[in-house]
Amino acid sequence: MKTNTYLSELKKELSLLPKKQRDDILKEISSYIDESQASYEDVIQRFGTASALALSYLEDNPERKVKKTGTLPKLQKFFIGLSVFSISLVILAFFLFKYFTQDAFDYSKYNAENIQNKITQNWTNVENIKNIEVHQANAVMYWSQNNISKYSCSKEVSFVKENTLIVKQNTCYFILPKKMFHITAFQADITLIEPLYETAVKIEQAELRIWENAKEYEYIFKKEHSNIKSLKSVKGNIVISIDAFQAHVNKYEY
Amino acid sequence: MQDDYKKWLTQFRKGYVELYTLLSLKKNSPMHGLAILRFFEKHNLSINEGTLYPLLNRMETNGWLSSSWNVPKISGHPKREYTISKKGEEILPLLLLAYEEHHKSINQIMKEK
Repeated sequence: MKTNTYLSELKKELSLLPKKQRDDILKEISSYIDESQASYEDVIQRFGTASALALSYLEDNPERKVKKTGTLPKLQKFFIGLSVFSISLVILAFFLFKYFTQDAFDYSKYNAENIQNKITQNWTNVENIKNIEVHQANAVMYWSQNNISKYSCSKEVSFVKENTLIVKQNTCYFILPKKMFHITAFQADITLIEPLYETAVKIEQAELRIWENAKEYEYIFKKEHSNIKSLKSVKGNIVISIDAFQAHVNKYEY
Repeated sequence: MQDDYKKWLTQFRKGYVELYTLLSLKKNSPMHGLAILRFFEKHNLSINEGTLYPLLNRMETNGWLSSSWNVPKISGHPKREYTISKKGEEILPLLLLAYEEHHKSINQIMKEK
């Protein structure tokens, strides 16, 4: 062992003392070692171990108490730091989640006419469509007085098969005529804006939101492991039948 | 028994080594730690470095001593030199008086039959 090791250990043990006082002590012991040409063994014999010597310095030292009360133990500091970091992470995750899951805009502020001004990307007309299948996609549906079905998707991966329009992994806006539609959704987010005609929705592991705009609807629910909230069924109105499996159904709110 | 004696001696020394240190510095200021040790040895006072240096540090914190660094101009190691302070000068007669009174008391008790 070297005397430098002894001084390093002593420095560590005296960390509670103010820097100036600690530096003076180390410089003084170092000077003594140099002056007397003491070996590590000599130093241990004359001063005792580094921790025992440090204890003598710290004993009765008023600075020790000041430092002790003013300084938190390292472990406590670590856990406080960890807690602050974790809370910050949770808050950040919350805002990121809100940012990435929030609707692009308030769908309820638009209708079949003005949504085409908002969504300027290509709108495609489709005829003889009775069914819409939505897979892992986000779909917003508006109803029009006109007799034409049209849609606009962010990606060109939708297609028509017989009388079914299928969209996958996409974000799409639909304008539907006043006729019966069957909507099937799997792992998707479906928003119906003020339906004007009878609609049947079958959803699985999906979310369905309906903007009623103060209108009343007759809801026919069939649900399994699903959560349906805030929708009041009033007989004699437009029928919306919902078949939900592992799904959430709610009023639309931006 | 030996342990009890060592513990008592440690406590006892704290007080009288402070007195010896003030006395030494009163006679020979300034002195560095090693010089104080040698002065003690010369007067048959046995004390090790591990006791003296923390004690000097404590006495300075109490204001009884002051220290400064003497850096040799040509060669040699910097030395921390101690001098007795004004407060140390003031308290030294009181410590000596207390020591003498204790010494007298012990003698009196020892002489009583």
